[in-house]
Amino acid sequence: MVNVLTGLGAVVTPSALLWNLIGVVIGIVFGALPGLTATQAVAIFTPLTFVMPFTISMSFLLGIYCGGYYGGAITAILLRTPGAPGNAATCMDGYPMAQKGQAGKALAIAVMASWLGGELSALALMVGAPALSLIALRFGPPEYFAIGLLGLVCVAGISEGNILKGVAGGLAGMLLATIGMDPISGRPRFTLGIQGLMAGVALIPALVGLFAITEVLAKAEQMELGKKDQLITEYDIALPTKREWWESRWTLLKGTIIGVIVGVLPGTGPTIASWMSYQEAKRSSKHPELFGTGITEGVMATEVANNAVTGGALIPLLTLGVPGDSVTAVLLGSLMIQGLTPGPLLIRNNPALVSQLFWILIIANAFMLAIGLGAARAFPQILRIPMRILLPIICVLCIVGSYAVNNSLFDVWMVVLIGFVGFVASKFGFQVAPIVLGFILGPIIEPNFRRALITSGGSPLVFVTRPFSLGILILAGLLLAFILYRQRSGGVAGEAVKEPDMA
Amino acid sequence: MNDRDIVGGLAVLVISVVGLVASMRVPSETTTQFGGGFYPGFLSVCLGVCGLIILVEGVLKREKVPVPKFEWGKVLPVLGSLVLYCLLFPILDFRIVTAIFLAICMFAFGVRRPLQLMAVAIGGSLVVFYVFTLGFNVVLN
Amino acid sequence: MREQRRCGGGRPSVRWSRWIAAFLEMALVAGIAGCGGAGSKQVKYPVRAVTLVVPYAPGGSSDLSARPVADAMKEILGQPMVVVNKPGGGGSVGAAEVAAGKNDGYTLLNASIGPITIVPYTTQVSYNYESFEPIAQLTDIPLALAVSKNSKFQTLKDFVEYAKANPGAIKYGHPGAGNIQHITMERFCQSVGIKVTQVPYEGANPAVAALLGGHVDATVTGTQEITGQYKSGEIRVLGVTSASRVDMLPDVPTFKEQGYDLVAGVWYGVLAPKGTPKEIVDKLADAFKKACQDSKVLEAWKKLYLTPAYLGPEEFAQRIKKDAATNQKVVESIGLSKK
Repeated sequence: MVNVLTGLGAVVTPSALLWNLIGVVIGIVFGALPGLTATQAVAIFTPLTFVMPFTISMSFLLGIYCGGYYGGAITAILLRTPGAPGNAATCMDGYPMAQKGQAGKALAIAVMASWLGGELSALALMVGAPALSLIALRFGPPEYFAIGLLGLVCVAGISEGNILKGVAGGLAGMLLATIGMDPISGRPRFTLGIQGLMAGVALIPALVGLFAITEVLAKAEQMELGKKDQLITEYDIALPTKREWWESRWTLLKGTIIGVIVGVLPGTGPTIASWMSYQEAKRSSKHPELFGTGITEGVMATEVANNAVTGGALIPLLTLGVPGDSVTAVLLGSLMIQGLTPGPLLIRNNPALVSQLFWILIIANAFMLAIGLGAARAFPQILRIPMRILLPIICVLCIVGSYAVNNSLFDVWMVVLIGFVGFVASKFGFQVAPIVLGFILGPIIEPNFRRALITSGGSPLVFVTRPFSLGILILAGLLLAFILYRQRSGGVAGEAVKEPDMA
Repeated sequence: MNDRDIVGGLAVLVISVVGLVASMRVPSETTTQFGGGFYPGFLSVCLGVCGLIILVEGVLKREKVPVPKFEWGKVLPVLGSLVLYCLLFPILDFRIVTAIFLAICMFAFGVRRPLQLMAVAIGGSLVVFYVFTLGFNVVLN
Repeated sequence: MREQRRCGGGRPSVRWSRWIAAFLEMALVAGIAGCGGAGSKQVKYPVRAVTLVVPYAPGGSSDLSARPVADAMKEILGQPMVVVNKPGGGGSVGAAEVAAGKNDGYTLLNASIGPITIVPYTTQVSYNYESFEPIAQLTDIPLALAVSKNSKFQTLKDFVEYAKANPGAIKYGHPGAGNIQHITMERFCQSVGIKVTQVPYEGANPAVAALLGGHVDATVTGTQEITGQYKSGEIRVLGVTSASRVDMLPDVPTFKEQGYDLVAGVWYGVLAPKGTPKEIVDKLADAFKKACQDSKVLEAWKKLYLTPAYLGPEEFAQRIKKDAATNQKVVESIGLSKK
């Protein structure tokens, strides 16, 4: 207990608080801009911390981390253009809410849920780090393969209307992800001799293309040239009621747990967490058919989960020296710059460290909440800008953001190409969300499947003889059965509701 | 070809066949049990099955959903301006390309007031340029 | 449609401006060369910012090791050195771009051993080590063969003897097929005549995690990746591949000490495109030498567990040539060479 409080003393200095606030603001901006992400922001600003003392550098970088995992929700809700991969699932209900005139409310829910997930995950870091880090160790190739399959089942669950088209989209996304280096043999495949494809199709351009450019082209098609736009001038900024929170308490709790655990697992991140949480909220809901029409629970589920990843992903970094997601992979370098070597000794040698990081996270999330609630009032004003001016600007941000990730012109071409393909596909009833999820899950499923077989000497029994792997596979099977059963029994009504707005 | 799903299913089938052919041409490995072509090939087969079912369902169902119509007149100008943006991106100064793109794209969307076109194009490109280069340390040519 | 036609009409003028720019640039270069020939040894370089291409993502060791150097170079050269990340393809995307770039000394590559001496033999790329003018090696990090603390292997000899008795039974993880860690381990196995099973991971961190979790029997990575886990006693390091012991792992014997003739390491160094004028190469090499002695640079490297190891253009060129020849042979013998 004393330890916990000494940590607080070290991080509540004016300069640490100021840098924390600056970090949160930078994080939100990077998160919100399509293409730029929290990972990018932490990487760009890490060299600045060469000259900062430990608490200030961590206040700054963890501020970016927390703000960055929430920021993408702003553009996801207002423009259906997730600013970062982890916020893609927020489009599902956030955007319809904004269209119904509840933009402010959706933004407020997003930041409040993010705050809750972030704070609870900080708590998990504080009290559960040693225990949770064991999970990360128990996960070998078969377990990651099983997690990947569980994610694929979620693809079926989130497919609106036609499950088959969702699965086809997911498979197409997985196929797209195989372009580039074969992760096991290290050989290029399907590159058509193009140098740029050697590195594969990067995630950010694919995401930006599929969501943002697809949306821009769809909007362009709907635009009536001579007429003025139908602007959404209403944006309810009423905060969600206590009852709405209470009704969603299980969704929020499950979302947090999913976020923390996915965060703990190296190689997975907020994107998978938010989709899994969304699918679980939909599965356990009494009114699953309302998901995707703009309900508060949908936004809560995704945003609580992606910010719960933050505390979770720090756990293996601090206890094992193994980062839990892409941001913590960069933070590993930032810690080394401070002269700290991430590894099992880190906490033992620096007992105050965890409590300091805990308080930094608590404070960063509080800043995020304050700024986010302000943003919930201010940002819906964006919708007052006529679409014909807003859309070209979005295009520029998408192009520049995607270029900035790898300084690659090739990526910029991919954005436009993939965006066009996504536009055509969505006209034929293939949603873009399953394609993106397949694209993210593929690189988890394939190498771990092949690695599992290498380590088992070729025996496929390895997937069912290990308890964690078997457990997750059974869970995936049950979930699939449940989704198919519900599709069969309630499918007719569901189809009838969904089909018109898709056509 | 009178249903959206017949066309969509056919397209999925074509992708799966292309994927399968490409996968079979990936050289097999001796070091590992499954080569680089196995998994994409497997995905292609699954995709083909999906495509086939979508196609058959499309043929069998009674209420046809018409094949979507594309309003190319509205889509192509936007797409074209994006392609032009990519083409010019490495050649000209970022600020100039972006201003050109913004102007063309807004024009395509139906903005006709010259003052508005110029103000947004020039202002927008300058703001983006300075925010990204000075604020975010991004190197734009 | 109208606007597209208008732009089509605009493009030739764009080309013209490019031609004119290129012409002016050529005139400028010729002018500089002329100055050099005129007797005054003073080369007017650099007159503008120099770009240092890092072929990996920001935040990694290639990036973090380069940034303090770039800062120090600014003070030495009097012109800023801008770090630009061009990640992808195991470093080959950035390398290919620099190789194809202008050889005027304004675009440099923060290279490392993998993309320069291995990738050209495993993959169809547009360059090889001869496409570059070596300037300076900056750091050199030995590799380590690590096992879990519960492992039955106490020494390298245990490892080799077990592998001899049980071919293919030992599974070792490494950060990716065709990486220097993989190639060096295969080279070692060939030299002592053992057979082990390789398990590729997506980078050093997952490979270390797999070792900690007991999913592989051993892991080969750079020493800087396992120092933390080694100090805490979670893992045991059987040997390091340097010529002499490493400062941060003083108790760990080298491969050589244990009777195995293997010296290898991951180097980071700076390359320029082929044909960069000798004066510029020398000037840069001198500047990098000074940067390698800069206290801020040394402190940053120390924190990142990178070992400073400056080599000038000639020695660096020899090392690259030697590494390339060695690695090419290994690549061919394990069937990884490009088809």
